[in-house]
Amino acid sequence: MEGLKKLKAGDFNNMNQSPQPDGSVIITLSKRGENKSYRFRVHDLYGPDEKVLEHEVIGGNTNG
Amino acid sequence: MPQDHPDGTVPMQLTGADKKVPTDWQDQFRGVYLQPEWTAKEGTDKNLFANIANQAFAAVLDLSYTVPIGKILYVNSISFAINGNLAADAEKNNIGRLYLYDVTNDKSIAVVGGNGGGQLPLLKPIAFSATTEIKLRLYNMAGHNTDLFSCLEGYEI
Repeated sequence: MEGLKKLKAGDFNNMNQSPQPDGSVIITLSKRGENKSYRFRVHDLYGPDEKVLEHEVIGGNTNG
Repeated sequence: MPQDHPDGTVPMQLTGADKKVPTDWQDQFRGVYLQPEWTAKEGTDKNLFANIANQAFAAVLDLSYTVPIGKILYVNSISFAINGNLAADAEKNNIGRLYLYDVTNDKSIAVVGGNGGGQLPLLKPIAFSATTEIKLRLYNMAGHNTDLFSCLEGYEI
Protein backbone atom coordinates (compact mmCIF):
# COMPACT_ATOMS: atom_id res chain seq x y z
CA MET A 1 0.00 0.00 0.00
CA GLU A 2 1.25 3.43 -0.94
CA GLY A 3 0.69 5.03 2.47
CA LEU A 4 2.69 2.37 4.32
CA LYS A 5 5.48 2.66 1.76
CA LYS A 6 5.64 6.40 2.35
CA LEU A 7 5.75 5.85 6.10
CA LYS A 8 8.63 3.37 5.80
CA ALA A 9 10.52 5.68 3.42
CA GLY A 10 9.94 8.74 5.58
CA ASP A 11 8.34 10.41 2.58
CA PHE A 12 6.10 12.78 4.53
CA ASN A 13 6.22 15.81 6.81
CA ASN A 14 3.21 15.28 9.04
CA MET A 15 1.89 12.10 10.59
CA ASN A 16 -1.08 11.48 12.85
CA GLN A 17 -1.55 8.17 14.67
CA SER A 18 -4.85 7.27 16.25
CA PRO A 19 -4.86 3.91 18.10
CA GLN A 20 -8.05 1.89 17.77
CA PRO A 21 -9.76 -0.41 20.32
CA ASP A 22 -8.87 -3.50 18.24
CA GLY A 23 -5.14 -2.73 18.47
CA SER A 24 -4.82 -1.34 14.97
CA VAL A 25 -3.70 2.23 14.28
CA ILE A 26 -5.22 4.73 11.87
CA ILE A 27 -2.38 6.72 10.29
CA THR A 28 -2.66 9.86 8.22
CA LEU A 29 0.36 11.13 6.31
CA SER A 30 0.78 14.36 4.41
CA LYS A 31 3.65 16.10 2.70
CA ARG A 32 4.21 19.76 2.09
CA GLY A 33 3.40 20.69 -1.49
CA GLU A 34 1.28 17.62 -2.17
CA ASN A 35 -2.42 18.25 -2.41
CA LYS A 36 -3.42 14.92 -0.89
CA SER A 37 -3.08 12.84 2.25
CA TYR A 38 -2.79 9.09 2.82
CA ARG A 39 -5.07 7.60 5.44
CA PHE A 40 -4.74 3.93 6.29
CA ARG A 41 -5.40 1.52 9.14
CA VAL A 42 -2.66 -0.92 9.97
CA HIS A 43 -2.53 -3.91 12.28
CA ASP A 44 0.68 -4.68 14.24
CA LEU A 45 2.57 -1.60 13.02
CA TYR A 46 6.31 -2.43 12.70
CA GLY A 47 5.56 -5.92 13.97
CA PRO A 48 5.93 -9.34 12.34
CA ASP A 49 2.22 -9.48 11.45
CA GLU A 50 2.01 -5.98 10.05
CA LYS A 51 -0.94 -5.69 7.68
CA VAL A 52 -2.80 -2.80 6.09
CA LEU A 53 -6.53 -3.22 6.71
CA GLU A 54 -7.84 -0.09 4.99
CA HIS A 55 -6.29 2.52 2.73
CA GLU A 56 -7.51 5.67 1.05
CA VAL A 57 -6.06 8.77 -0.55
CA ILE A 58 -7.73 11.95 0.60
CA GLY A 59 -7.72 15.06 -1.55
CA GLY A 60 -6.49 18.22 0.09
CA ASN A 61 -3.64 18.89 2.44
CA THR A 62 -4.07 21.51 5.10
CA ASN A 63 -0.43 21.32 6.13
CA GLY A 64 0.92 23.66 3.49
CA MET B 1 32.31 34.42 -7.67
CA PRO B 2 30.27 31.42 -6.48
CA GLN B 3 27.08 30.44 -8.23
CA ASP B 4 24.01 30.47 -6.01
CA HIS B 5 21.68 27.51 -5.93
CA PRO B 6 18.15 28.18 -7.18
CA ASP B 7 16.85 28.11 -3.62
CA GLY B 8 19.11 31.01 -2.68
CA THR B 9 21.70 29.05 -0.70
CA VAL B 10 25.43 29.35 -1.17
CA PRO B 11 27.40 26.10 -0.86
CA MET B 12 30.31 26.41 1.57
CA GLN B 13 32.66 23.95 3.23
CA LEU B 14 34.49 25.28 6.27
CA THR B 15 36.80 22.89 8.07
CA GLY B 16 38.60 24.41 11.00
CA ALA B 17 41.09 26.84 9.50
CA ASP B 18 40.05 30.40 8.66
CA LYS B 19 39.05 30.73 5.03
CA LYS B 20 37.84 33.55 2.88
CA VAL B 21 34.51 32.86 1.21
CA PRO B 22 33.75 35.10 -1.77
CA THR B 23 30.10 36.07 -1.82
CA ASP B 24 28.17 38.54 -3.93
CA TRP B 25 25.92 40.39 -1.53
CA GLN B 26 24.80 43.04 -4.01
CA ASP B 27 21.05 43.11 -4.70
CA GLN B 28 20.53 39.95 -2.74
CA PHE B 29 18.84 39.14 0.54
CA ARG B 30 20.56 36.84 2.97
CA GLY B 31 19.17 35.40 6.17
CA VAL B 32 20.37 33.15 8.93
CA TYR B 33 18.00 30.43 10.11
CA LEU B 34 18.18 27.97 12.95
CA GLN B 35 18.28 24.41 11.64
CA PRO B 36 14.72 23.49 12.74
CA GLU B 37 13.33 26.54 10.98
CA TRP B 38 15.36 25.90 7.86
CA THR B 39 14.23 22.28 7.60
CA ALA B 40 10.62 23.43 7.30
CA LYS B 41 11.63 25.60 4.35
CA GLU B 42 13.36 22.77 2.57
CA GLY B 43 10.71 20.22 3.52
CA THR B 44 12.68 17.81 5.71
CA ASP B 45 10.78 18.57 8.91
CA LYS B 46 8.95 15.78 10.70
CA ASN B 47 5.89 16.44 12.83
CA LEU B 48 4.43 13.37 14.48
CA PHE B 49 1.15 13.50 16.37
CA ALA B 50 -1.02 10.98 18.19
CA ASN B 51 -4.35 11.14 19.96
CA ILE B 52 -6.81 8.92 21.76
CA ALA B 53 -9.99 9.68 23.70
CA ASN B 54 -11.51 8.52 26.96
CA GLN B 55 -8.65 6.61 28.60
CA ALA B 56 -8.66 5.32 32.18
CA PHE B 57 -5.98 5.84 34.83
CA ALA B 58 -2.55 4.46 33.77
CA ALA B 59 -3.67 3.94 30.17
CA VAL B 60 -1.09 4.81 27.53
CA LEU B 61 -1.03 6.50 24.16
CA ASP B 62 1.77 5.17 21.94
CA LEU B 63 3.23 6.81 18.87
CA SER B 64 5.70 4.60 16.97
CA TYR B 65 8.12 5.44 14.21
CA THR B 66 11.15 3.75 12.68
CA VAL B 67 13.81 5.95 11.10
CA PRO B 68 14.12 5.00 7.41
CA ILE B 69 17.30 3.51 5.97
CA GLY B 70 19.74 6.23 4.97
CA LYS B 71 18.19 8.90 7.20
CA ILE B 72 18.85 10.40 10.62
CA LEU B 73 15.96 11.74 12.70
CA TYR B 74 16.70 14.78 14.88
CA VAL B 75 14.11 15.50 17.58
CA ASN B 76 13.66 19.13 18.60
CA SER B 77 10.84 18.77 21.08
CA ILE B 78 8.27 16.45 22.59
CA SER B 79 5.01 17.66 24.07
CA PHE B 80 1.64 16.48 25.26
CA ALA B 81 -1.80 17.68 26.25
CA ILE B 82 -4.35 15.96 28.48
CA ASN B 83 -7.87 16.89 29.49
CA GLY B 84 -10.78 15.29 31.32
CA ASN B 85 -13.07 13.35 29.02
CA LEU B 86 -16.16 14.50 30.92
CA ALA B 87 -17.11 18.08 31.62
CA ALA B 88 -17.25 17.21 35.32
CA ASP B 89 -13.51 16.37 35.19
CA ALA B 90 -12.41 19.37 33.16
CA GLU B 91 -11.14 21.39 36.10
CA LYS B 92 -9.58 18.52 38.04
CA ASN B 93 -5.89 17.73 37.96
CA ASN B 94 -5.25 16.13 34.55
CA ILE B 95 -1.77 14.76 35.01
CA GLY B 96 0.25 13.11 32.28
CA ARG B 97 3.77 11.78 31.85
CA LEU B 98 5.44 11.52 28.46
CA TYR B 99 8.45 9.33 27.66
CA LEU B 100 10.59 9.17 24.55
CA TYR B 101 11.93 5.61 24.18
CA ASP B 102 14.59 4.18 21.93
CA VAL B 103 12.91 0.81 21.41
CA THR B 104 15.71 -0.68 19.33
CA ASN B 105 18.32 -0.06 22.01
CA ASP B 106 15.91 -0.38 24.96
CA LYS B 107 16.63 3.07 26.38
CA SER B 108 14.52 5.85 27.87
CA ILE B 109 15.76 9.05 26.27
CA ALA B 110 13.64 11.85 27.69
CA VAL B 111 10.64 12.43 29.92
CA VAL B 112 8.33 15.31 30.68
CA GLY B 113 5.33 15.51 33.00
CA GLY B 114 2.69 18.03 33.75
CA ASN B 115 -0.85 18.89 34.73
CA GLY B 116 -2.86 19.54 31.57
CA GLY B 117 0.17 19.19 29.35
CA GLY B 118 3.86 19.84 29.03
CA GLN B 119 6.68 20.36 26.58
CA LEU B 120 10.36 19.52 26.50
CA PRO B 121 12.18 21.75 24.01
CA LEU B 122 15.56 20.36 23.00
CA LEU B 123 18.08 23.04 22.12
CA LYS B 124 20.47 20.24 21.32
CA PRO B 125 18.41 17.89 19.14
CA ILE B 126 18.40 14.18 19.96
CA ALA B 127 19.58 12.16 16.97
CA PHE B 128 18.29 8.71 16.06
CA SER B 129 20.13 6.73 13.41
CA ALA B 130 18.59 4.76 10.55
CA THR B 131 16.43 1.73 11.43
CA THR B 132 16.04 2.88 15.04
CA GLU B 133 12.50 2.40 16.30
CA ILE B 134 11.33 5.13 18.64
CA LYS B 135 8.20 5.32 20.73
CA LEU B 136 6.54 8.32 22.31
CA ARG B 137 4.47 7.00 25.21
CA LEU B 138 2.05 9.15 27.18
CA TYR B 139 0.60 7.88 30.46
CA ASN B 140 -2.67 9.09 31.90
CA MET B 141 -1.83 9.66 35.57
CA ALA B 142 -5.15 11.29 36.41
CA GLY B 143 -7.66 9.41 38.53
CA HIS B 144 -10.37 9.70 35.92
CA ASN B 145 -10.82 9.18 32.18
CA THR B 146 -8.99 11.64 29.96
CA ASP B 147 -8.30 12.49 26.32
CA LEU B 148 -4.61 12.22 25.41
CA PHE B 149 -2.54 14.01 22.77
CA SER B 150 1.20 13.75 22.11
CA CYS B 151 3.54 15.38 19.63
CA LEU B 152 7.12 15.01 18.46
CA GLU B 153 8.75 17.65 16.29
CA GLY B 154 12.02 17.35 14.46
CA TYR B 155 13.63 16.88 11.11
CA GLU B 156 15.02 14.03 9.08
CA ILE B 157 17.96 14.29 6.72
